[in-house]
Amino acid sequence: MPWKTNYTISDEVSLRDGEIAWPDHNRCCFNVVVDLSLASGPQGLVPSDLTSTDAVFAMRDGLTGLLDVLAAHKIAATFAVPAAMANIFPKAIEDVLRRGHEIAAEGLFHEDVSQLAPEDERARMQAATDILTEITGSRPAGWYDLPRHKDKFAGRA
Amino acid sequence: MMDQATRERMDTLVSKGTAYHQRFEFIDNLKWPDGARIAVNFTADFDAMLYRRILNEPALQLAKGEFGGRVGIWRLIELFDSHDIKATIFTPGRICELYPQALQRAVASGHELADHMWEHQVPREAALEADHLQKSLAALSAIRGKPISGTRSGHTNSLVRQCGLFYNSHTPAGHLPHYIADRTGQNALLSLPFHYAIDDAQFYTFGWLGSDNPAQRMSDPDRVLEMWWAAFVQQYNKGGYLNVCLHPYVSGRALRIEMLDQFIRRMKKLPGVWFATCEDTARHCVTQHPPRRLTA
Repeated sequence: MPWKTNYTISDEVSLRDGEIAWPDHNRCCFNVVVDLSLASGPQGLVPSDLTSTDAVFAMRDGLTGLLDVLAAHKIAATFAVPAAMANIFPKAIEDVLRRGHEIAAEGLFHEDVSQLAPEDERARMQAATDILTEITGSRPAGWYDLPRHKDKFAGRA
Repeated sequence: MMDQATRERMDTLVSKGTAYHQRFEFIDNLKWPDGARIAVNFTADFDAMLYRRILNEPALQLAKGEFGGRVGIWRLIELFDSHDIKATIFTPGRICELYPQALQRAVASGHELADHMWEHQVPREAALEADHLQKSLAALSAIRGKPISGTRSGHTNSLVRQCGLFYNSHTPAGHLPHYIADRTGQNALLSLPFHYAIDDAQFYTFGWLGSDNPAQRMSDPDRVLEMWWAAFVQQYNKGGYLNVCLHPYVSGRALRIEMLDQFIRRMKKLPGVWFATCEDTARHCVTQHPPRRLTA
């Protein structure tokens, strides 16, 4: 829809209430998504995002606490994972998979790709997919990425 | 395929991230004395706005802090004494000049005095940093009548250890006490973690200089009580640790002293709660659970 260029931000189409039926006649679908990354700016993770005691908490006690509470309620969640995080914390990815959760891609570095040239964005999607496929053993089915250009709440610029 | 620059960025992230996280060692199967389920450290950061004085903030801001020195610290000591709880007072060295009587009373009641930086800041230059910590420890130990065991600061591990201290309570890397080595991978120091969610200043700090309206915090003490209770219960059920960070100028206000009294009463109804100073908690950890991978 060329006329929408620079007018709406996507070509998404939504279903209205009642237009969708879930398996087993369930009334509602509930997804838990865990952002398995660390706070970073629009450029994505830089070393200082990883070298903090908050980062240590996140990847150990924080992650363990979430995995335990999800297990207690028998909920399989989706973990959005930047390929860089999977490279740095392969053991955490192993734990997440062993406990029955999905790993989805969250960019190569958790970067905002909205300002990248299309060929650069394509190369990063490919690299992120390759890295996650190698570490998890299967190709990610989903992609998480927020455009955060000019977002003053997006963390370190 | 990643281009050269992207590949280098990835390699740097992996090597720096991995190296940093290896500086932490956690204690497996941590056990408290006498089969206690949880250790609770009540801590008070008795800075009384020293840092605001250094920032040259206006009189009204300084007066808030001075309330902590004149009134708040006494109320906290009386509260802890009424429950026979020994607390840890993290005190900047210069506070010894400003409020010596309150500190003498804290010592007489059996509370621990520990370092909170000479002037509530750590100088960048190494010789000056050492001078600050040594001055602070000299002032505090003179009032305490015995050596100081710990600090709540960003002082460097090697200096902290050289000065005879054996714990720091400054960072939130885990729920339980753990060890942190310095950049060289050496000088591992016991960390008694605290978190800003269990810090009165995050809920009750009103009118921090230069902050805009949404940053003003004046929480209902009942709400804070329920949040802190939830944190306590989760750790109690698992077997754990809670470090409660208070400031005399914040929690010394009447309504918050009342809330703390209720908090302590609730905890005391449960068996197996070890109310300890940071010093006693740290001594237990370093003697019963010394680091195995990291070197001190």
